[in-house]
Amino acid sequence: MRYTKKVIFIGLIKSFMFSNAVLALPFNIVPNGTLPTTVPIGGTVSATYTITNTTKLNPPYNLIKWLPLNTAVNPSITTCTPTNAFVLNHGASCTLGLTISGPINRDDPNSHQHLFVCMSDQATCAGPTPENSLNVIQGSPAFYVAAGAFGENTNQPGIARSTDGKTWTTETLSPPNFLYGSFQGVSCLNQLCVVGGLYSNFGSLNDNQPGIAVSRNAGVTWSQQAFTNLPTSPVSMDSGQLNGNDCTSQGCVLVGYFSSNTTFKNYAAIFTSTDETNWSYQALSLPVNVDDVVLNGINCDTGICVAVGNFLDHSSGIQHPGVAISPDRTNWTQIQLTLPSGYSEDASLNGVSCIQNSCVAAGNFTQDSTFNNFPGIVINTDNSQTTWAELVLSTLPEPPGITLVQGTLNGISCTTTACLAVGSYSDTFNNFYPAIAMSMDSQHIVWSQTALTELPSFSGIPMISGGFTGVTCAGTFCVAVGAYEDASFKQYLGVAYSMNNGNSWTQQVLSTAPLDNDELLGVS
Amino acid sequence: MQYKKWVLLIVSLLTASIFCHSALAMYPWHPILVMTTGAAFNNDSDSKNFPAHDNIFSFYDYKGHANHGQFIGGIFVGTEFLIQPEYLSLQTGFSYYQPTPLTLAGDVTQGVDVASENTYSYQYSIQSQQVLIESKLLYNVQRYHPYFTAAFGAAFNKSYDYKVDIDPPFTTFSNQFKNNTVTSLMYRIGLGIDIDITKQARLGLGYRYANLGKTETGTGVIDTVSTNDRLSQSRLYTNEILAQYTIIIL
Repeated sequence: MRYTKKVIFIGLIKSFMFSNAVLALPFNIVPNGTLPTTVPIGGTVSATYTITNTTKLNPPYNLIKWLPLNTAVNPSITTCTPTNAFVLNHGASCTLGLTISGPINRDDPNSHQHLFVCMSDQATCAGPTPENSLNVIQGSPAFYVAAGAFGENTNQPGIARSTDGKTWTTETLSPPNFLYGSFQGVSCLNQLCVVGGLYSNFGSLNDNQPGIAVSRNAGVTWSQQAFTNLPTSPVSMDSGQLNGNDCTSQGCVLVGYFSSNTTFKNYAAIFTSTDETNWSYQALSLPVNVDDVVLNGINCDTGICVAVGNFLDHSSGIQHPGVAISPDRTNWTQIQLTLPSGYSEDASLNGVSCIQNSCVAAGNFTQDSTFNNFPGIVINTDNSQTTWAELVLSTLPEPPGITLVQGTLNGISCTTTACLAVGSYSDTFNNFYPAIAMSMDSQHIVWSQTALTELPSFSGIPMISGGFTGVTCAGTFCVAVGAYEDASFKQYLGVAYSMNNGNSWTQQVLSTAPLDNDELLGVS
Repeated sequence: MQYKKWVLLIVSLLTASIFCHSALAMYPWHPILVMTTGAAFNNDSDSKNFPAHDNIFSFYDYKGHANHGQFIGGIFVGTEFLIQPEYLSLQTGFSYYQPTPLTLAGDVTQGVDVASENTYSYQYSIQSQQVLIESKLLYNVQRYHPYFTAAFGAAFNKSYDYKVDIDPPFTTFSNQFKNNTVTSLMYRIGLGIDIDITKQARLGLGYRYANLGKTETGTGVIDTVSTNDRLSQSRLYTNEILAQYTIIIL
């Protein structure tokens, strides 16, 4: 008989000592203090556990076999070291410190995304009880970084930074060995921020050189790098710029275009790095029947990188929307999309956001009958991002007293609950207003649009025109950036935030004196 | 070995079938079709202890629960010979039976020692498919036909879908046994009574005792560590109460 009197006695003692059911496991894993429940986007929080060997066994060694998603061992407070072979004899305890950089679901069905401590057999393991397990949701970002160009005639690369999306500080950077510069694509991951753009000496398009700025402390300090040694394949490139940017745990990918003074054509530019110091870059050959490719935005969140932009059709001379797709960030497939019926003039895709294998791109289509631009949405309909459906938002908002006739979308940000695209509308007097387009259906077929026609003032100066260039959302909190203009055509930095998924916005104008013609072109 | 067992089985079945039919060819006969349905009861439980050893520091002690009920269905195609007109008939032919999956449940106690042991419930399913050569000897008393029946053949016993309920979840790992199919020799014996409802149809009720042979899960995996552990039963027995509908093709 397996159950001896001693076993029964111990069982009875257990029952009497603890009112709740006692869980006997090889390791007792209990948190020190209260476990965190939220982690800011781009930030980290800490948790500490005490691990005790509850057995009578002295295994050769023990190991932290599995960690929850978005969790890393904090070596500075961990005494269970080395974590893949630490000694913990019977009754002994050690401390495991964890740094959490993203959401953790304690009900995640994948057991390998839970904390497990094992003996050296790797089979005798224990994890914390559910009430002692990490369950962390992602809160608002710890900071926001927007980038742009400050000063119309003396374009300088500029950064705006905020810790809450509401109050901002601005900084003008000096271009490295160039007179001018402009930043556009921004992407931040934890404390890392990468910005892409251009540097130039003469302020002309064929003088632009691609540029990247990197901050490793959440946008506080920046190092800049200009790229003057441009690709010679498929043809020798003479200039270029970077428009879109996405950093994930696999590294950063920036996209834009190179230009050749030999062929007078533009070619897709791809910059990649895993350490944000050493960059690999290439110019993609033009696809068949395409004369010109410019990439404006990119997203790699699904594992497949999807870049969007404009492809100039060789046969018609019309600019089509286009996508470039890469499963490995090295090999790219470029696809020129067709134009929707009734909108067969120039089109453009300016931004893309992907979530859960679904990508949504935003841009504009030009109506045949009026030559007016209308907001355009392009949605992938397969998991490989090779098939896309197009949607023209042809019914523009009708704010009181204003007749909007055109619209374009420049940036888009999708969360699990909504996609929010921003851009600008223009009226019959060529005044511009920030555009908001929102979709909450799972297929992103139904879109509602809003024009922000009540514009903010700056030091008593009313703004009469404005538009957004980029947007980022976390949960229901969204931040959009762009520019406003007063009656004297002076341009100001524009920022806005929404706390309700884009339904209502608080707008403000940022001063960057002494520069006076400013715009923000991207935000993360 | 498995291959040889199969060849032997098939040769035996064919030989027996041909012999029966040849020997009885002189008697009046009719083709028959028998459809069977009923309940099968299993009182088996699996118990297994895998002690701790140098490669796995925890012991795993499995104790199965007994008493399981299943539905069973089957079909028999064969011939009925009147070997002693007015008194005795013999049905012989091939049959196929398939009970609904049998769910075996139990508790596994695992741990390094008493202080660290815990008990979790587990369950897995067994699906048995049975191909048999079957004979039924009937004693004819007017419209009543009490009978004795015997069958032997092969059972394909698939053990699958092992689950262990780690409660609270994600607090430890346990053996996860892979699916596995064992082919076993089996037999079924029983008795009952058939009653004529027309000249060409009978209804019957009977009891069967079946030995379905061996069942065995695949080997286990504890998280990422493979083990040679398997849950098995050397013999799976069932007691069956069956209703039968016999069609006699005159």
